[in-house]
Amino acid sequence: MFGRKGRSRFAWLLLAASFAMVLAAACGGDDDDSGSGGDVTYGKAGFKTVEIAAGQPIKIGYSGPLSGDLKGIGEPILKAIELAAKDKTIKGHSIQIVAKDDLCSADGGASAATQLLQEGVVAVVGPICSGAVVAAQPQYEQAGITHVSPSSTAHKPTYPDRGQVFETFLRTTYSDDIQGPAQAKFAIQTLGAKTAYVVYDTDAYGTGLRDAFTKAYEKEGGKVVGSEGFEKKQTDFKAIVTNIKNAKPDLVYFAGFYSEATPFIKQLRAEMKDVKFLAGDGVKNDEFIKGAGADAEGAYLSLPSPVYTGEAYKTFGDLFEKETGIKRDASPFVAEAYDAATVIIRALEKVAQEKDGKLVIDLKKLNEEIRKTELDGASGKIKFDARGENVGGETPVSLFQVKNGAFEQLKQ
Amino acid sequence: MPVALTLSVSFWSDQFVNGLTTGSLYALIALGYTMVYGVLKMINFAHGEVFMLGSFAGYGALVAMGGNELSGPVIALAILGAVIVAMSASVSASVVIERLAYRPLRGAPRLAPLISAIGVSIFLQYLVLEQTSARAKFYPDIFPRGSIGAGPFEITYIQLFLIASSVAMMALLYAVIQRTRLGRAIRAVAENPTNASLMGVDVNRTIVFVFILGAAMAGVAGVLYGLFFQTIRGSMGFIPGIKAFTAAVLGGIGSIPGAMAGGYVLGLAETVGRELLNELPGVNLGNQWRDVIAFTLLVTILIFRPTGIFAQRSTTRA
Amino acid sequence: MPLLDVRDLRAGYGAILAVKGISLHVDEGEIVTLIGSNGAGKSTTLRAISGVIRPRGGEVTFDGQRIDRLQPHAIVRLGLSHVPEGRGIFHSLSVYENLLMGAYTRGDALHDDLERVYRLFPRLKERLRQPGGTLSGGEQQMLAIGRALMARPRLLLLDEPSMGLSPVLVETIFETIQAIRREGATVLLVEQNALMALEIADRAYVLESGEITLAGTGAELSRDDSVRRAYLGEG
Ligand SMILES: Nc1ncnc2c1ncn2[C@@H]1O[C@H](COP(=O)(O)OP(=O)(O)O)[C@@H](O)[C@H]1O
Ligand SMILES: [Mg+2]
Repeated sequence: MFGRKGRSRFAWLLLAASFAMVLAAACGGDDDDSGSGGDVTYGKAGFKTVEIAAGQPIKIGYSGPLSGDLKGIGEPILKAIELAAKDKTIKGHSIQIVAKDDLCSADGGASAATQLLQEGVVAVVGPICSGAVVAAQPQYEQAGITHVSPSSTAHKPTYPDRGQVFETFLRTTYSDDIQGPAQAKFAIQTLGAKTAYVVYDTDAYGTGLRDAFTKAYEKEGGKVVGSEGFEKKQTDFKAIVTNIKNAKPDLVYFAGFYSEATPFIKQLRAEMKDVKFLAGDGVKNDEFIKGAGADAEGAYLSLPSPVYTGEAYKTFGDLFEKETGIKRDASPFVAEAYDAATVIIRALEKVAQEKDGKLVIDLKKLNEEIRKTELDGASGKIKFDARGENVGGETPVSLFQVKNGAFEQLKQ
Repeated sequence: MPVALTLSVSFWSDQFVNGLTTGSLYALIALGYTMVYGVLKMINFAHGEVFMLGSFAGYGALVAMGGNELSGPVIALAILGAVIVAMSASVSASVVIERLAYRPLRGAPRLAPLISAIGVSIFLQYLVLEQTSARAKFYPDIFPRGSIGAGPFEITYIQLFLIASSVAMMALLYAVIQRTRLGRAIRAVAENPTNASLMGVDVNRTIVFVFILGAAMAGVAGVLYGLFFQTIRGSMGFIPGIKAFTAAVLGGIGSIPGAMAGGYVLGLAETVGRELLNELPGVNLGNQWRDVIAFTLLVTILIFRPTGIFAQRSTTRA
Repeated sequence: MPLLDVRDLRAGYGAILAVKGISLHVDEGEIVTLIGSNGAGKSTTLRAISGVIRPRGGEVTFDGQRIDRLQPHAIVRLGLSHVPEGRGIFHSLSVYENLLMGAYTRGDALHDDLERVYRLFPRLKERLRQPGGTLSGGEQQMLAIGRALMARPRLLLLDEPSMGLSPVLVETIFETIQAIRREGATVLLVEQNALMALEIADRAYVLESGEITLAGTGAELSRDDSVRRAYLGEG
């Protein structure tokens, strides 16, 4: 291959190799940052004061997938938010939900943030997906707009890369730092799986859950025998299945969404009928059962949500089903979304002031009021720590198994 | 440098079969790129979408014939029907695209049809994404599961079917190109359209046939893809399209055997090649690296051997 | 009625008008030659007749039918074959396939026609499986003519068949042209080798800068002083 022009060819080869490295860096895993817990220092959020003219609605934003494969997650959540805002008025102003489709992607999250800020929202529910959250956080922080995600579970949003915690971010769900260990414990103690093969989406959610699970699983004495990433919209999982077959694990752990879990499990089951399958909230969706059919049978799923028992959940669930026609457990995080919107609206009620016929909202005060929340919500007790993490709940992870085409909750 | 392979024989034979499977799909699609390039010196970027439309048409046909309820020997007929419907859909789409988007630009600067092709590609992709609200569709899960083989050498039925029918389609196409009057006309037009017209060849009609043949292959690939991976969506044509284009370039664009060989080389590079690299100490390339490998191969070939890995003379084809 | 009738034909490329209104005709069974210096417009005339370029004006009638608006493949079907300058061999097709391309418009049996070509050019028969591009210049010219004959044309347009060939081969080619005429075809021959062309031609036209300046029988023109000076290297 190295002929007369050997040297210049070698230079070209180096160039091509470096090109490959750049590409690799762009799609490879991220460096581990694992949080130090303890001290929290905020960056500089750009809180302002906004005025809303008489007769104008107060706008609350929503950022989540409203088209594409993950519409099945984003749409029920939006309905729950709209339900929370329905017929509510604050000092004569109605509440309008401004929804932007972010396709669950990082790019989409950033552009939805730009659009929502232009629309003049005072707070946001979302983004729904962790990848979008991480991409959008700096913009919301700079604009001083508080956003409460009902569903982003990754480690990163509350432990950002640069150390300074985002003051404007909170979530009503629970971090994968809780879900991962709970899954690991379940895998070892209940399923008796000593070895696991980890398959993950390369986005912030997938890699976060991968890390949380892997760490806890190995601490519990399990052995991760292989780990492989995939891209969103990937359909060819053959090579991964071959690797799994070769590794013969007790368990396949999947960190990603149902849109990829569906083709994955079909290809897995075509060759490995019996290996146990465990996945998180991204897969616990009716769409998974619909798409994977018989191949979904026996799959284990977890949700970073408590076992919903409260009266508030029952009231919400009945209302949600009546108003939207969607089953309350068809898709996760609807109760958390209802609570996120409620948290924002309650804080608005407290801080919004009338002045010269206008409604004045101090965004700094709004943020503080939201952080002080103590709510017995539809999804359970809600209370935030300094990072914006929900620390209200007691048993915040529930487990399910697909049986006869439905999710059956497991006793814990 | 001798490297002791740590993994089992069955692992390698499985990955080899996986490589042949994706390679077959790349090869089938690559034929469309290479043939159109051969006659028009143009890269038909909408070809990935022609494949996607075929896959959707095949899906529609299977669902209409009963979808998941199909069972027994009827399945074979249903798949045959789906293939025919898919081929018709791909062919019709391709003929319309050629007539509306490419032919009016014949003789325009070379960039014009290229941009038109990219426009058509995006248009079709978003049209289908819009119609399906960008959600995946799942092919009926009807192909019998299971595998045949002995010892470490095993192949699933669907993979065997996919590889065998791809090879059969390619052999058929090769025979058409090499042995028929139409095939001769196509090769003549590819070499020199003016001289071909002096032989009485209707050049426009022959170009349409080139699009038809390429689209028919893409339609078959669409159904095979659906049956195998089971998930299809409006954007599914993009990556296989680029991969197939890479395969065509690998084999020397314009060359039909080159496109077939390029498809298999690429398919094997992504699977067996990647795992071989992983055997090197300190290397661990996960599945997400396959695209990186494919495009590194493309860039390397474009730099070192723009005429493809098999080409000896610059203008050989067929 | 002439087999080919060209009236006031104009043709060119872009801004160049290379053929500026010429008229000529070819009767059934004739050999007619068109001579003229390099760049006179001879090839352009043939291209406009066979439809490779579209005439800018004038009329071309073949066997009583207007053909100046037809596509080249449609003109071939009417029985007019054009062997272009540079021969137009398909390099990647075998010699045999090149011959089959010549018969592209025909659906009937080709055996007799192949035999005729092999008889005229025994060299080709030895090289049937070889790619066209590997033939020598003379062999390529034989193949080009043989291929044109496969269409059983009524009129054969030949553009400089002797170009680049050794004297012996030129001799063979000209003998073949006469043989073809004896077998019933009509020939319009463009040549720079005016001497030999005039020898075998029934009639001839002289083309200069896109216009016909002289016409007459082959014998008349070969005696003409201006022709002798200009094209036969005398004076
Ligand atoms: N493809 C072309 N594009 C532009 N000009 C051309 C082309 N072919 C020929 N010409 C010009 O047209 C004129 C006639 O050329 P041509 O018919 O080839 O002459 P001849 O065959 O008598 O040598 C010349 O001036 C030549 O430069
Ligand atoms: Mg000439």
